[in-house]
Amino acid sequence: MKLQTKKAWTAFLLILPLLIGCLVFYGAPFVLVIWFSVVRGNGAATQFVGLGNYAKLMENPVFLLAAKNTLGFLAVGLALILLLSYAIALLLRSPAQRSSLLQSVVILPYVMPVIGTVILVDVLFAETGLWSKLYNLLGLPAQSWLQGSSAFWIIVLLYLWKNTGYSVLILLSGLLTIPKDHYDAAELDGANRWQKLRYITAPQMWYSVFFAGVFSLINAFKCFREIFLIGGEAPDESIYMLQHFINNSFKKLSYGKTAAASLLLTFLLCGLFALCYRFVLRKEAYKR
Amino acid sequence: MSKRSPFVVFISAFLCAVCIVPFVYVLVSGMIRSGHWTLQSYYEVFLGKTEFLLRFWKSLGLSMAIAAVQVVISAFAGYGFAKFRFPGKNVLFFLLMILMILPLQVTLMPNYLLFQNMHLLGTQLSLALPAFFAPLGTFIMTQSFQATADSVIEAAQLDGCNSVSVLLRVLLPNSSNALICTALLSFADAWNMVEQPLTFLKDFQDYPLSVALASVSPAEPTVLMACCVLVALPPLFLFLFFNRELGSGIAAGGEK
Amino acid sequence: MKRKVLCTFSLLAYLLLFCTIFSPMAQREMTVLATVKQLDGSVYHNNTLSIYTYCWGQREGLFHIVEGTGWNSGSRIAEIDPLYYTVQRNYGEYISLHPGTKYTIVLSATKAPQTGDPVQIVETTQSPGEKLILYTPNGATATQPLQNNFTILQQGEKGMLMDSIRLEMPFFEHQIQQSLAKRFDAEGMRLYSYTEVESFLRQLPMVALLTGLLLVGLLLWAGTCGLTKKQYPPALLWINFSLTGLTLLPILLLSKTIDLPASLMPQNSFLDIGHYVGEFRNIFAAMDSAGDESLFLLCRQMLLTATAIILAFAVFCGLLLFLENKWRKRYAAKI
Repeated sequence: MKLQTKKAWTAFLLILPLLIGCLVFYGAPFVLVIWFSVVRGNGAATQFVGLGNYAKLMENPVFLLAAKNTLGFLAVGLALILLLSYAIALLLRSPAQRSSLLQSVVILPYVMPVIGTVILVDVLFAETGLWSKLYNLLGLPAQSWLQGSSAFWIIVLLYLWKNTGYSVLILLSGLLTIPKDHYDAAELDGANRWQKLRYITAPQMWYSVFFAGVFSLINAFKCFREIFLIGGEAPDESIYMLQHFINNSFKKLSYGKTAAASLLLTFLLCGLFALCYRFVLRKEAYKR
Repeated sequence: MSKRSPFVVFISAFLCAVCIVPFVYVLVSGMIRSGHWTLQSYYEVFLGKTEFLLRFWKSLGLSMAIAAVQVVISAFAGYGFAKFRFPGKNVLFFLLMILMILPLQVTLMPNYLLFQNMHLLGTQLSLALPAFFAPLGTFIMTQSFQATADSVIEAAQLDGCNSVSVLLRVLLPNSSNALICTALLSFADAWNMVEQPLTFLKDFQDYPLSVALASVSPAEPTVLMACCVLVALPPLFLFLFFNRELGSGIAAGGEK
Repeated sequence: MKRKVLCTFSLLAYLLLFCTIFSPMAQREMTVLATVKQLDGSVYHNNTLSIYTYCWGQREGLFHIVEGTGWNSGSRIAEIDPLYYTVQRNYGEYISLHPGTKYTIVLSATKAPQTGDPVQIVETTQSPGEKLILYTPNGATATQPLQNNFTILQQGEKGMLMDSIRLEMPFFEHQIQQSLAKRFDAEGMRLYSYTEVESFLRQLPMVALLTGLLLVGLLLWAGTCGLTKKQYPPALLWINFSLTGLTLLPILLLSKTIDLPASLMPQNSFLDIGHYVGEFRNIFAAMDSAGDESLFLLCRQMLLTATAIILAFAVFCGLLLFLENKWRKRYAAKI
């Protein structure tokens, strides 16, 4: 029993720096956010309004637009990136098909600095950009691609280009841990490629897929940097994200809106993450 | 030796091109200035003016400091989470993962108020301090340490190692991939910081290179391209040099 | 793959460090030296100025000094909108600025001002006994007698050497040219200060030293890359590596001591070799025509010194490579 307590104390000491730092720079701000989300007014005029800020938020059309865009972007982006990186990882798995150049190069777009991607988007999709020139060649009129609904798809494309390599590495590593004799046994049983994929590969990849998804989610939120640099504080409607909303509300000093939106986002992510994690744990339970 | 089908070759070549061509484009367009080939832009960025290079070294120092401190803190915390049991561990770890996923804005705004009260606004510390304690490193290190067998640790403890030397002599050498991965990812994050400098720093002269280029464009667009090459160099080097370790390190966060 | 990446990026790192040392020197040399007149914005002062820099070749413009922002920090030159001044050409170049304007006007500058150029304000000093080199590609005919403070020492078809009792230094070519243009009818006349040309030539060996050090550094880098192969003892690798790094220290020291005269600097790029070659072609043509050999001899002497320095470096590198090769053979024989 003593050893357990001693071990527990050692553990606390080890995680203490992280704990203190997180408490100061993430925990305390979070508590502040919770406080701001349930009060209204500044300074002496603060009054406790409970869920009043949240109710007001739900009726705020700007917030609803931001939420719709963000969730849409996440849904579309995550689905596409997982499919794409799965395909590329499958491509890179077999030594016969593998291109070692591709394996080294696939992470390169992640390395491109933010300013570089912004320049590239500008070069390609500005009104006088390369994409417009292509359209002109085909006789179609060029439009301003960064305004309007096409902006959304440009950002999705940017997100895919930049972050697929990251997921490919995760998924590829997961693929390589599946023992080869599973596949050999299946071939003896006469399985074709699709059946091998469905019955051998997929069930063992849930954990990798989950983490590829988690990291892609993190990267999707980081995509805000590019959107901010391309579109500024008030970009086009289709790419106005929750982070823009939080940013702008903070600048206007409406802390209530900022805090409520932040908390809603947090709880949503919490719930989603917990659900997915339990789902994956159940799928992988046979391994333990 | 089975041959590669032409379809696969085509797809691989296409993907390689998609990854490499943008870099080549940035490199080359720095050499074309109002229609003709000239190295004047590269001269301006590297040899003619000091501003770009000085800011480069300053940002490099900041990013390396952030990466170094984050690695140390993550290693210790990862050890605690991986190999010990204490009350509240699972809850804490879950919270850590949530923190990892959260977009930056959620904590950026209250951090601004915090730094305002601590009078740290406008200093490089305001950029560095939250980054020191980012949870991604801890997560990767925890996953990696969990993969090390307990028996090895027990053997080391029987030999008389205390916790710190267990960490240094047994766990870290086995998890060098994860360590490198943590360092790389935190460096990349710090090198590409955009929101934090714009929020916490007031003076253009304090901005790290990544944001400085974005907020105030140099007079000539080709100079911007040449600067982009400069900005891309450190992460390019790290990710190319540690290519193999990165693959297994990221994946250590993806397997059990 | 790792070796190739490491070698390539170590070269880039070395070059980046070199550029970090070199660029302050380049920026310092390219800084325009200027004399100014401070207008304090008074509405009662007579704002008429005699501007020497007013007509600059084909371009005309009035410039002032501003504090730069963003990437262009420090004192910079900016052009004044022609709306704010009027030109009076009755008795020479005179500018009238509107009353109440508050500018730090650039009176003379060591080279043609351009918006955005870094600038340093200097006070002129009267320097006795300076010599001037005139380059007159189309000959010169005297239209008026020379002023008292100028005497022609030697004269030829394409150039002449003049002595001046007192000359304002640093050398502002255009300022002197404007006053001499009234005495001579010479198209395409160029002026150079003898002292400044001499100073430039005397620093050639240092420039050669710097270049030599850079080349040595690059060669040592190539050697270090070769030494990363397994067949060499690691001590050799580290010696080579530290030597490569050590070449940067003298380069740093040199970059602080080299101070080339501002009047001979190119317009846009410090490394514009064509400009230097052109200027010296003019100078030597003028001196040759005037019959004075001193500069030519000095130049030859300096070039010889520079070549000797570069040869010394080459010999050093050769020795180093030879020794390392011998060590390698001894090491390989031992294994």
